[in-house]
Amino acid sequence: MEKNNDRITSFQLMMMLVGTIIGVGVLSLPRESAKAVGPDGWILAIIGGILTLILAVLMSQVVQRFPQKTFQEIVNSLVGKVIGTILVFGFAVYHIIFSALQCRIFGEILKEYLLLYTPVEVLIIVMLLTTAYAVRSGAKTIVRLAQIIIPVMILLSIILVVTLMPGADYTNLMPVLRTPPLKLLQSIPVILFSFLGVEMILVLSPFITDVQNVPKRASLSIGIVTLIYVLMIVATTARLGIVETTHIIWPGLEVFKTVDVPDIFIENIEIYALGGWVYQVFLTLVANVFAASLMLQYLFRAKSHKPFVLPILPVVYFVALIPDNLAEINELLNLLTQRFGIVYFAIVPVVLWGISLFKKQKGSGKSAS
Amino acid sequence: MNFYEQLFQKKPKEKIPVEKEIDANLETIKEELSFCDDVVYREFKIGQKQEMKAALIYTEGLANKTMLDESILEDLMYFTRMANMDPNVLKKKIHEAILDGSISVANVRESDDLDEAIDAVLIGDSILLFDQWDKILIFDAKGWPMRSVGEPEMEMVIRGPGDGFNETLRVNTALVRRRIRDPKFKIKQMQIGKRSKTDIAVLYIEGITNKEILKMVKERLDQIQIDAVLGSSYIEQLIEDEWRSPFPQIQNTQRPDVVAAALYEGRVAIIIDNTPYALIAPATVATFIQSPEDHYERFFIASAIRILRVLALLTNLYLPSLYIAITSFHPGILPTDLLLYIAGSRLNVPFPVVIEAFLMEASLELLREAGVRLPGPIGATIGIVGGLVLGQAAVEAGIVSPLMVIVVALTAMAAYSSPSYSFAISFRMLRFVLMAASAFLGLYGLILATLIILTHLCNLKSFGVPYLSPLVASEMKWQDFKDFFIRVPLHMMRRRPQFLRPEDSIRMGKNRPNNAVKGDDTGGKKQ
Amino acid sequence: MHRKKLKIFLWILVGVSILTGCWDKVEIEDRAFIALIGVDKFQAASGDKQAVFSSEGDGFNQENRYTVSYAYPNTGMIAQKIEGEPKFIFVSTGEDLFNIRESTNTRLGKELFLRHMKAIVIGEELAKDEQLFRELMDRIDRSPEIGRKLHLMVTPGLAKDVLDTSTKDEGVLGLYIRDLMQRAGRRARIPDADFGYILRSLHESQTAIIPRVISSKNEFKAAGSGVIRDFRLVGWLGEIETEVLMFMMDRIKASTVDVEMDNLILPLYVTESKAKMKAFEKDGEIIVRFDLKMEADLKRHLFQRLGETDESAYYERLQKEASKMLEHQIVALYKKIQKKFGADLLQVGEYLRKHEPDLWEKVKNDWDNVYRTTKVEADVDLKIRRLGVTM
Repeated sequence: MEKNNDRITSFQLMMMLVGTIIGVGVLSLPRESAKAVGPDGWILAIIGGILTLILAVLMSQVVQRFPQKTFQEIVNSLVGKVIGTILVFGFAVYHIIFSALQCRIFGEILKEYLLLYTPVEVLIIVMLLTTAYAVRSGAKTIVRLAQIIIPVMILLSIILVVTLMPGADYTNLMPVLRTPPLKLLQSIPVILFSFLGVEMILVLSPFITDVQNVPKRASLSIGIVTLIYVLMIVATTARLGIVETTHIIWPGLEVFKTVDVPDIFIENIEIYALGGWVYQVFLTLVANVFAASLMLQYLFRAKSHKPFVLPILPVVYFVALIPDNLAEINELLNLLTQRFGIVYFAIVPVVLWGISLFKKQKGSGKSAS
Repeated sequence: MNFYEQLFQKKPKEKIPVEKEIDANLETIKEELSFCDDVVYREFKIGQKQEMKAALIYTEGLANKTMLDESILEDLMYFTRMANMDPNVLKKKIHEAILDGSISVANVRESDDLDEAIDAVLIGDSILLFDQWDKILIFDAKGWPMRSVGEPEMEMVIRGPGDGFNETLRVNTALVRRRIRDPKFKIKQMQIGKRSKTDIAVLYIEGITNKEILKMVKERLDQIQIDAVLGSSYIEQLIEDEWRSPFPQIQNTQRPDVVAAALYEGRVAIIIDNTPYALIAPATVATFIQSPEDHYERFFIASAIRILRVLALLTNLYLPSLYIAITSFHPGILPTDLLLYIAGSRLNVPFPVVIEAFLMEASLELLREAGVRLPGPIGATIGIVGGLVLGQAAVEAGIVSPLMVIVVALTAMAAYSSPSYSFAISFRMLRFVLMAASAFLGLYGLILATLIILTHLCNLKSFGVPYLSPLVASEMKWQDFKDFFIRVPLHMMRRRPQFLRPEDSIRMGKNRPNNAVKGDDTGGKKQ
Repeated sequence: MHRKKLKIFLWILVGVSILTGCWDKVEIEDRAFIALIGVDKFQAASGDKQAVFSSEGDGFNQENRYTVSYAYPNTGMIAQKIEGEPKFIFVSTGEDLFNIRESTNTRLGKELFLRHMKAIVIGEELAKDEQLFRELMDRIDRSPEIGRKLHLMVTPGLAKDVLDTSTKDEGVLGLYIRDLMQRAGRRARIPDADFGYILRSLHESQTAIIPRVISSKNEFKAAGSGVIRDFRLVGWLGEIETEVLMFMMDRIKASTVDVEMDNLILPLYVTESKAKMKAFEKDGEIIVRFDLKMEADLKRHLFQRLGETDESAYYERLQKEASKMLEHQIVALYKKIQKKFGADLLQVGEYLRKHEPDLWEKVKNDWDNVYRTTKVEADVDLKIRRLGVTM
C-alpha cells in the first residue's frame, strides 16, 4: 500500500461516485417514478437523494473512523470475523449480480437503438473486456477515468437537457404534491436502483488519503446526481406527458426523439445521448467489477485484485444471459434491488455506523478511565 | 555531501598510471590506439639544446590545427630555444614553466591517467607528453566542421528566435546558457555508450526542478548499458516509462527557447552530442499541444489557436473512423439532406467504405513517406501529384467517393498542424486501430476503443508525472489549467505548473505593472 | 505460462470476432432512405381478401389487410451522378406492417432505413378503422427507429395517390412535407401537429387532430385537419376551422384573418397571438374560457378612401369588429367539436387534472358526458399595430 499508485483523494472519490451511481437506471428512472407517483417524480428523486445523502454521510463517518482500512478489516473489527466474512462474500456476489444485470440492460438498449443485428452476447463481451482492462489497471486509473469522463458527461447532460427545455409543456408537472405523503414514502424503493453505488465509499476506503473531506465531497456528488435526476425527470415528463412517460420503457432516451434542432448539423439526438451514456455505464461496470474483485482479493487473502478480474467476467456474462427478456429483467431487478441491494445500500452501512458509534463511545470511555 | 553532489558523484575508475619515461608512455598509447590511423603523433624536442623530448598527440579532423601550430608547437619549439634560463632550474620546473608561461591555450589540464588521455584524444582534445614527467597535459583545442546555428526546420515559428540546436553539444548548451544566466542553472555532463562514449548533458535549474524527477532521470541514465548512442531517440527509448505505449513520453525539440522554457517550468533537459534534438522530461499531453509561439502571441489568439489544434488532433484521430461508423452503421446521425448526398455520391463505388477508407489512408501515408525520402522540390511535386492528381483521377474513375477524398485530405491537414511530430505520428497510428474498431461495431466500437486508449493514457506516467496532467491531478486546480486548453494572459500565470511539483512554485510578482497612463489621450499631463 | 495462453486465446477471440463480425454493417448506398410512407387499408379489386401474390402451396394463407407504399429518393440524382426519376415508389401488401417491411426488404435489394422518415400518410379508410389505426400507432410508437418529429397525415382517398404526386421544386416529397410543416407555425391552414403531439394527445385524451393532405396529379396541398376520437377518424375540420383551433391551442404565432367591416373585407396579418385556456366550475357548470391576446397588421384597405384611416377611432372599431368575429368563431368551433365529434381536442380534461385536481376527481369517471355539457366563453383582445406605409 505504500505505492503512490493506490492513493486517491476525496475529490477523485466524488467523481467516481457520480460515475458509479448514474448507470443504466437513469434512462428508465422517469418511467419508474411517473408510474409510482405521477407528476411528483422529481420530488421523489429529491427525497431519494436526501436519503442517499444521509447514508453517504454515515458511510463516510465509518470510513473516517477507520482510515485506510479495507472493507473486510472494518466489518471484521465491528461485527466479528464470521459475520464479516459472510458480509464480504455477499458483497462480492452483490456486485457481480448487479454488474451482470446492468450489462444485460445495457446490451438490450444498445441492440434496440444502435446495433440491431449484432448479437447481444457480443455487445456484452466486448464491453466486459474493456471493463476488465480498466479494472486491472487499479484504483488510481479507475478514478482518473472517472475524473476525465464525469466533467464531460455533466457538461453533455446539461447541453442535452437545454435542448429539451424549449417547447416543453411544463403544465405536465401539475398538480404538484397531490400524491399522499405515505405513498411517496412507500415509493422510495422504486427509485432505489438509480441510487445504488454509494457503497463505493466503503469499497474505496483503503485508498482514500484525505478522509476528513470525505463527507463533504460525497454529499456533493450525491447532490450532482440528484440534480441530474431531477432535471431528467422534469424534462422527460414535461415533454412526453405523464401517460406516455409511464408507457415507454426508456423515456430518458425516447424523449430526445421529440427534439428537433433543424439548424444544427445534428439529427436524431438520441444517438448522441446514447453515446454519452455508454461512457457512464462503463464507469458503473468498472466500479462494480472492481469492487467484486477487491472483495475476492480479501477473501482469498491475495496480494492483488488483478488475478480475480478475468475469472469474474464469465460469471457476469452468464448471469447476464439468464433472464429471457426485458420484462423478466425488470422483475428480477426490482426483486434484487429491494431484497439484496437494500441490505448493502442501506442496512449494512447503518448497522456498521451504529456499532462503530457504540464502540467508539466504549473505547473513549475506556481511555478516559 | 548535499543531494546534488551525491547524485552526480563520479564513480572511481581504474587508472593506467603515467610512466616517467616518455617512450614507455608512447608505447602504451600506440598500443591502445593501434590501427587508428587518424591519430597523429608528433614527436619533437624542446629547449635551447634540444635536450628534452616531447610528443603531441591529436586526432586528425577533430583538432584545431591552427591552434596547435600557433599556440603550442610554435611556442615550444621556437620560443623555448631563445629563452635563456638556468638549465638546473629548468630541469626541475620545466613543466610549470611550460604550463604557466609557454602555452597560450585557454583550457588546459593535467592528468596522471593514460586512459583519460586516450579518451581525450578521441574526443578531439590534444595531449602533450614530456620526458621525465609523470603527468600529461590535455589541451582543449577542438575544431571540427559543424553546421551553423540555423532555424530548425521542424519547429518553425513566426514570431520567435531563429536559432536552433546543431550537432555539437557545447554549442547547444551555450545556446541554452544564453537564455538562463542563473548560477543555479546546472549542466552536468556524463558519457554514455561503452564504445561511442557519447557526451550527454543533463540540464536543470537547482531550486526549481523537483529532486525526485532529477533523481529518476539520473538513475535511468546510469542504468543504460549500450555500446553506442547514435541519436537522442536511443536515450529516449531507453529511459521512457512505458515502452509499449504508442505515445511519446519525452518531448524532443530543436529549439533552445523551448528547452529554456521547460527548465524554467521545472523540467529536466537532456542534450546529447551529435544530435540536434534535445530531450525534455517529464512530458505530458499538454506539452505536445503547445507550440512555443503560444507564449509569443497575444493570449486570446494563442488560446484560440490552441483550441483549434486540439480539435485538429481529434480530427486526425477520429475523422476517418467516424466516417466509417456513420456511413456503414448509423446513417441516422446525419441531417437528411447531407445523408442523401453522401449516399448518392457513393453510388457505383465498388469498394465498401471500410476498404475505401483503409486504401485511401494507407496511400496517404505512402505519399507522406515518399515525400520525406525524396529531396525537397521533388518531394513537394510528389505531394501535389499524389494528392491532387491521384485523388481527382480516383474520383473521376468512380473508384472512391469524393467525400472520402475530402475526409482523407482533412485528416492529413489535421495531422500536419500538430506542433509535435512524434505525438502526431502516434495518433496517426491509432487512427488505423480506431478505423478497425469502428468497422467492427460502428459507433459502439469507436467508443470502446476510445475507452481503452483513455485507460491506457490514465495509466501512463512520464517520470512519475501522470501523462494526462493536469486533467487527472488528485486535486484539480484552476492553476494548472491556465496553460492547457487555453493560455491565460502572462501576468495571470503566476505559478509554475503544480503537477511538476517544483520546489519554487512562484514565477512572478503579484501585480501586473500598472501601465495605464493617467491624464488625457496624448499621455501627457494636463497643464 | 498460463497467462500467456489466456492472452493468446483472447487475442484470437478478438480477431475472429472482427473477421466474422460487422453484423450491422450496411453500406450507405445499399440502404433505401425512406422519406415517406403511405399506409392504406387493403382493398382488393375483385372484392376477395386473398393475397395477390399468394404463393402456391403455402398452406398458411394470410389475409391482406394493409397496402403500404414506400417512397425513397433517388440519391444518385441528388448527387448529380445519374439522371432519372427523383424518387422511387414501392407498393406492398400484407397482413401486418412489420411483415410488409420485411418482405419489401427481400424484394427491394436494399435495406429499408426508417430513421430519416419525414412523414406517414394514411388513407381515409384506414383512419376510420379503429383496429388497423391502433395497430399502426403501436407499430410506430414501439419502433426505436421512427422518430417523434415526423408528421402523421391523413388524406381523403388513398395515401398511395399522395405519394404519386410529383412536386416541382423539391423532388423528394418527404423533404417537401418537412419543409412545408416547418412553416406551419406561420401559415396556419395546417395544424402544427407532429407525431409526438398526436401520440401524447391520444394517450391522454384519446383524441387528436391530424393534418390533412390533399393531392391531385401535379399538386400537393396540406390544409385542414382530420379529427381522431377513440382511435379512429370521426370527421374533418376545414382550413379556417383549423386555423381558429390553432389559435385556441396557442400553437401558432402568425396567420391572416379576414374581417368584414363597412362592406369591405380587410385582411389582417396576425403577428403575435397568445392564448390561455381556463376551465372552472361556476354554478354547477364547467365553464371553459379562452383569453386571446393578438397583435395584427393591416395589409390592405381601399384605394383613395380617405378620411377614416387616419383616425384612431376607426381602428378601435376595427379591432372590436375583428375581436368579435374571432370570439364568435371560437365559440362556434368549440361547440362543433363538442357536439359533433364529442372529442376533447382542447384537452379540457387534462387541464382540470393539472390545475383543478379536486374538480377532476369528481368528474373524471363520467368525463365524456360532462364534457358535452361544458359551456364556452371567449375573450379576444386584438390590437392593430402597423398600417403599412399609407394612411
